[in-house]
Amino acid sequence: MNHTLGVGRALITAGLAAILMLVGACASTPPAPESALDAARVAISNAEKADAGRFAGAELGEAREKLALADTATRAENMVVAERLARESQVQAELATARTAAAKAASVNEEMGRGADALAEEMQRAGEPK
Amino acid sequence: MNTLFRNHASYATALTVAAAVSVTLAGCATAPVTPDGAAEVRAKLTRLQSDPDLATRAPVAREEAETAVLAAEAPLATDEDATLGAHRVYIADRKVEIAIAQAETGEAEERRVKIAEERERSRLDARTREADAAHADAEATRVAAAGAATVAAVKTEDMQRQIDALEAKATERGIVLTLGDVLFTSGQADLKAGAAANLDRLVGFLSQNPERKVEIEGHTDNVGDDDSNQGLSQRRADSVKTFLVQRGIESGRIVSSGRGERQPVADNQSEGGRQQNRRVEVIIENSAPVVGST
Repeated sequence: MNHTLGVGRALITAGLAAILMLVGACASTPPAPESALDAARVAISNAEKADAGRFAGAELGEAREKLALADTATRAENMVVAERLARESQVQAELATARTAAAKAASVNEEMGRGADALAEEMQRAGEPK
Repeated sequence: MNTLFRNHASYATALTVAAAVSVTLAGCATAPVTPDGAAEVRAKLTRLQSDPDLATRAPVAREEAETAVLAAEAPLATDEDATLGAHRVYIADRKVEIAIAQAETGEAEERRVKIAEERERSRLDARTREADAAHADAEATRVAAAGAATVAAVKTEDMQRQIDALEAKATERGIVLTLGDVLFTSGQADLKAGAAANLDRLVGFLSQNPERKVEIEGHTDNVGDDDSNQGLSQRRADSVKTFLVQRGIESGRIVSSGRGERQPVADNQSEGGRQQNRRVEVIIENSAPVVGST
């Protein structure tokens, strides 16, 4: 009898402990990495404004993907992973912007170079004796 | 037996030591390691830093990349989150790529300035060429004009020289050329052969000044009778006219007359004076009438 009582008490104690642990787990859930997520959204938005969709589509796509994964991880309360994904999304979006600028600069130069060549050629012709 | 036991004990000790060593070694093997991919990212950053065209550009991005690569290279203990290393490498890789892209943009923009300068230069060159051509045209025109002026000047100068050569003198009536009687056979109207050279200069002058009319007057000294002097002076004047016409001077431009002994230029008392009076004067009329003189 005594022995049975002892087993029941032990069970209750274990159950309480489990409940406490669960409550404790809830209380210690880390906050969502809002600032990192916001930074990623801003970086993506900047890249879109810079026309990265045209000049660095793959990079922009990957940044969006990372942001989506970060949101999923946040919902799953996997905040450490969510924050890393958000930071990766941000840096990838920044890369998209940087590559867009480089591509634009190169294409402007090419255009200008063609223009300069054409001009030089034309001038050369105009300068030749008639 | 005792010895064997002792040997056994020392064997056990050796085993224990060996185990301890191997545990230590194993500990070393699982000690903090640099994440995979960190070396590649470092190599990429080093390439950027040693690219002469890009190394000095995008300093802020390069600094961030350097920091990120250092973070990626930080060894991670085995019990640390395995994905943290991959995350750091990812960030470092993108930071390096951003630095490269920004450096390339800077380089392209700098090159653009050069392209623009080049374009401006070729435009300028063309304008310069045009201007040079125009200048050359103007210069040619100027030279031509100057040439014409020079020709005119030379012509005037030339004429003066010719007049001088003819031993002529400018008078109100025009240029008066006096052909002395040494050009004629004494008492005759025929021109001596040596006269031709002298008269050729007159022919040249008249050819170059076709608008000028010519009067040829024959004169004599007072030796002999008037009629024969008149006749001789006329014939000598005619003789000069004939010579000029033979040399291509239009006869309509030439009037010849004999003045006899009536217009001496020197004293007939002396031989020198009489020689001076025996002459043929060629008066080349001024091309334009002189205003005020009649």
